[in-house]
Amino acid sequence: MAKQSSEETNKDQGVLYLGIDLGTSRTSVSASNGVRETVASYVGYPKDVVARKLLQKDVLFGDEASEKRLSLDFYRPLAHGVIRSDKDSEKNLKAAADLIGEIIRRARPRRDELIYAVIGAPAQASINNKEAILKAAREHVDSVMLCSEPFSVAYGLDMLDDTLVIDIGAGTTDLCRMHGTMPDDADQLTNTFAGDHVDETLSKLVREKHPEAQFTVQMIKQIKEKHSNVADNMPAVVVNFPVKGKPTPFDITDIVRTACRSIVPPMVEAIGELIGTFDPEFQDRLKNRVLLGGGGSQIRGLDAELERQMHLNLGGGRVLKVEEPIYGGANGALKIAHDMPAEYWEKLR
Amino acid sequence: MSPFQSSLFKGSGRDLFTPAQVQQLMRVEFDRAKRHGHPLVMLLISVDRLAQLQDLYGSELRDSVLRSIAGLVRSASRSSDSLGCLLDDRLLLLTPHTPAEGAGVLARRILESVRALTFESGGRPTRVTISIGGAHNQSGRMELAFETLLEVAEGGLKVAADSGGNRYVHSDLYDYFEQRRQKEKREREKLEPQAPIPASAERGGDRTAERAPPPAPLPPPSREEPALTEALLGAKIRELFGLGAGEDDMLARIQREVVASALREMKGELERALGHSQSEHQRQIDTLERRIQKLTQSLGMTEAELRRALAQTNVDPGVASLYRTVQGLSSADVQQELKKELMSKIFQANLELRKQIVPDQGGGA
Ligand SMILES: Nc1ncnc2c1ncn2[C@@H]1O[C@H](COP(=O)(O)OP(=O)(O)OP(=O)(O)O)[C@@H](O)[C@H]1O
Ligand SMILES: [Mg+2]
Repeated sequence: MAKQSSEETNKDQGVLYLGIDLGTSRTSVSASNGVRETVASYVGYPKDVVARKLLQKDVLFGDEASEKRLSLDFYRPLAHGVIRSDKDSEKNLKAAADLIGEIIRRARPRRDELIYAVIGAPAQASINNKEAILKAAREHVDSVMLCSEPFSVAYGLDMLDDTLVIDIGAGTTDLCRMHGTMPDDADQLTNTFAGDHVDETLSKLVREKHPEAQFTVQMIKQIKEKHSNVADNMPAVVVNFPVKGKPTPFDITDIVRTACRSIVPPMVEAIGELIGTFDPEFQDRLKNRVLLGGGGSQIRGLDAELERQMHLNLGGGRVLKVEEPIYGGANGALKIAHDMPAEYWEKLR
Repeated sequence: MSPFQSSLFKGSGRDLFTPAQVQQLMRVEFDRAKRHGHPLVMLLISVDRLAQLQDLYGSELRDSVLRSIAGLVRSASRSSDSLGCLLDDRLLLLTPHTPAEGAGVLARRILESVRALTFESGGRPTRVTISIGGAHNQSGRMELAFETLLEVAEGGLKVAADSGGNRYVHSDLYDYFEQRRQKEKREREKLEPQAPIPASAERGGDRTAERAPPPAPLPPPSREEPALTEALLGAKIRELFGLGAGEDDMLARIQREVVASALREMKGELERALGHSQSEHQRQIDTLERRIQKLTQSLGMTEAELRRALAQTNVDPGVASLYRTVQGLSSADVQQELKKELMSKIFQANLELRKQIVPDQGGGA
């Protein structure tokens, strides 16, 4: 166990460290009390008195909110990884704050403990957004820091040197080049070819090829998460869609493959760019240490397909998947929280 | 299909026609059938328990249910039929050139295809049923008003919905009027004063209620009435009209007329009085129902409060952190120096961020 504790805090209080990953589709926490929780980033408030009475709650989160969304004012407050400010920005901020509060509650902190939290936020989050996140978090914790999302994934895995981290989320795919220092803007690239894009492509293709099939985006997302694959010889995907209300089987194997592959070319291009602008001496090393994380890295065969494309376009490459794609960001943030010297925490209280 | 066919839906965002306009256009269709004397069927369709469905799953589902059912009805009917959506979400279908038996076939077809429909609500499949009330103008030659046919269809729809829905009830025009007459008769009899009232056309059991009623026969002078009163009235009339002794016939006629109109007047008075006290009752019932509703609501809130309070008493004490003291980097870490530097950079960035957000507060001094 670690020893250094420069300035002693209140001795009878323990400290609970939290690593939080705020994502478009999932918000996760890893805590130093061993609790790990994840919740879909949805927040809903009952639409009216009837709904409130029926649901017996003032606010619902995650899948529960998604299930009941017809009777809720429904928010996905972190669309594109940052708190949305397009419409109803005030309400979105409240929803985001409530979501942060909820994930902290789910870490089950004790009352007599100090809570120090590191929140992984997308690198491109604006000042306003960072402010909103900090404000919301401070209501629940004693001290809080933000850190950029792909960096925390790499830190959690101790891959701080010559590693290219790719975090495939719902709204964005974030690429970050690690080279033994704090990555700066030049080390990071973000594109919007991520999970949501696969959903949209899949919906579009199904609609084109089987116009009679009835489906919702939610159904498409579930199908994707169950069957996602980019391999040539992937197992057949046969699903039921209602046609005029009657469940009817459709073979959508090729469509699923095409949709999942749609995020690969932009990813290879971004990899090429980050490698091409790297110190030539270490380019090969970087190329051979590509780390895939985030929910989207669970697409089967993605590592092999990426390697194949890198061979074609960049003359080689090796791709690894992180073991826990869901908690990669939260685990890394927790590790940062833990490794952060106490005096820093106290200065930010 | 008629021109307003595709544009009837409230909530579809393309509602070019208001429900009133839909009715107007239907009326045109109806009048055409009447003019040319062709048979015509009216079906009035409502989704069973639509309000509850909306409460449970929201208005999105309601709209999609309505849209799908309208789509079904549309595809089950012919291109010459007119389909509209009334203000209260009931669908109105007019099919010209259709005999009464055809209405039943069509209605059952619609019922069946709706039963096969499934809706997705919150990931779960939901089924809905509908009720249909039908009416037929028989020959098209009857002098019927559009509203009358609608009223007949409404009667059937109410029976269908009240008996659990998922069914079709066709109301025969004649039966409908017969029933209405019976009902009115019963009500009238309840009102009937001691003295017999003049018989009206309905009393005679005439089968064509639409026809103008024959002139009411004058009532015979009542037996119970005291002779004195009758004599008094006669004297009064004689005096008023200046009738001589030889004009007894005239006197008798005037006297009958006067008695009849007085009785009519009395009956009207009575009905008004009764109607008044009924509406008074209704008002009281409404007030009580509202009160009950309010009480139920506040009871629900109290229950929720209680539950919340109860939940508070056994709050989760939480899970203790594995570390009791403030941690930091382990000196055993091979990358200790690098990590120290990284930690410091993260801290600096956050300090900077905080200064930007709260400029006067500075860096945790
Ligand atoms: N098995 C799977 N196969 C393919 N995609 C998956 C799978 N499981 C989850 N996903 C997708 O991963 C995405 C969510 O990933 P993740 O939780 O990392 O995103 P996030 O961090 O919330 O988003 P972002 O980083 O954009 O803010 C979703 O689009 C989800 O559908
Ligand atoms: Mg993420």
